[in-house]
Amino acid sequence: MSGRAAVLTGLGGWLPPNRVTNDDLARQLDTTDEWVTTRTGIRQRFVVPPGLSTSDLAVRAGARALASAGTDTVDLLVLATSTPDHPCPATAPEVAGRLGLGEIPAFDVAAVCTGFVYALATASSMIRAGIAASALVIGADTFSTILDPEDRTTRAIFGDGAGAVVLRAGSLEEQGALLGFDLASDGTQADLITVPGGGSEYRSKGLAAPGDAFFTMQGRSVFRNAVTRMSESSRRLAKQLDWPLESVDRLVAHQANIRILTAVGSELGLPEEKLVVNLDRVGNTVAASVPLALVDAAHAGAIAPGQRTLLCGFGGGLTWGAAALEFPELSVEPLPGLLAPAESVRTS
Amino acid sequence: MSAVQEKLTGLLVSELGVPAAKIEPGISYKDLALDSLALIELTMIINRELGVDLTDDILQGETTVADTVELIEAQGVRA
Repeated sequence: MSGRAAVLTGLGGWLPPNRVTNDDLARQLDTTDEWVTTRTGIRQRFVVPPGLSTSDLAVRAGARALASAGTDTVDLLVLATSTPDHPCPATAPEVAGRLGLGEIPAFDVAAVCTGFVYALATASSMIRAGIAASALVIGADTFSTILDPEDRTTRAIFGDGAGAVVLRAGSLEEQGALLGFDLASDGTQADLITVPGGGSEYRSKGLAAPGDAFFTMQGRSVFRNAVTRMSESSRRLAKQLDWPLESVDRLVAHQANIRILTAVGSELGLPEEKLVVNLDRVGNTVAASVPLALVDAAHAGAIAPGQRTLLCGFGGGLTWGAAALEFPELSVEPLPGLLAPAESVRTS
Repeated sequence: MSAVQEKLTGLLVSELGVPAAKIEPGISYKDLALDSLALIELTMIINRELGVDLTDDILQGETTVADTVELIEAQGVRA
């Protein structure tokens, strides 16, 4: 394999200041720490205080990724989010402006929890095509702003956050080169994960029930699809690269639920020590989940340079996908709010 | 015990950690302390191991081991 590639050179993440523990949730809703921990593996999540929105998180994560790469310029910004600041315009140009990146191309990619993998593939392709020589790819979401405050299930699962990487043009032989992607969708199951209202369909049909602006998902079917889709995508990509599955050192899967991560690991025959897990401390942060897991793992030394790494995501759409790289040497700042990596939670 | 029930019992024990002594035909998944996610995990395991196609919502808390054996056998599987 040879040729131009996008190479990972910077990594950073940011969490908003309000930490919500399971006990905090139990004081507001009919739930307990034990109920949440055994069903999700999540012990705490961070949410935005009033006044902060997706762009604020994206700017901070983006600045940290740029610092990690030792640069203050890129010539492309792709933001993965499904909670943009506004329906129009996209949030990416504002983020680029606030980061002082100049008049670069900047746009949003919406693929819910697969958003980061899709955005990474988009930026990587633009670099390989020669349209850009470097890129900032950010996954940022503030799902706390679209959850039903009375819904104990979604409030236990989702947290806010942003994670970002910097890519530059290089060669496929370099450590950190993005070696391949597998992307897919199935719109026939769009109703499994949805915010029904708030878009053109409801406005055009004159439908507007207040609760329909809240996020909903059908847990069981989502669970099954998440496990099978992330497994099949990872398997397909490994095969495309001639990587025997046992040669994969780290799987950084979308941090949806510990039981999904364990099931994906078991489908792929990967032992638990190869699974990167940080959802116990940040919850499911949607498009931010994969880069935030990378930040935590890189900072804690849980992922090392040269390790064969698969990133995979699954989310509303349905959408799913995977990306592969040999992890590079990076300098990464720890996530604010997480003083030290805690023990990971495993339930099986 | 039918071959399917034996297989199902084995999967409940090995894959979901249910104590073998508690498993009997008339017991429900609720009484085996399996929550809704455990039931979708069980559905996926049964489909994979027994080559059937149980739908996502078919196993509920009230469903018994005997009901499940019936559902599997209705798809022509005798294990």
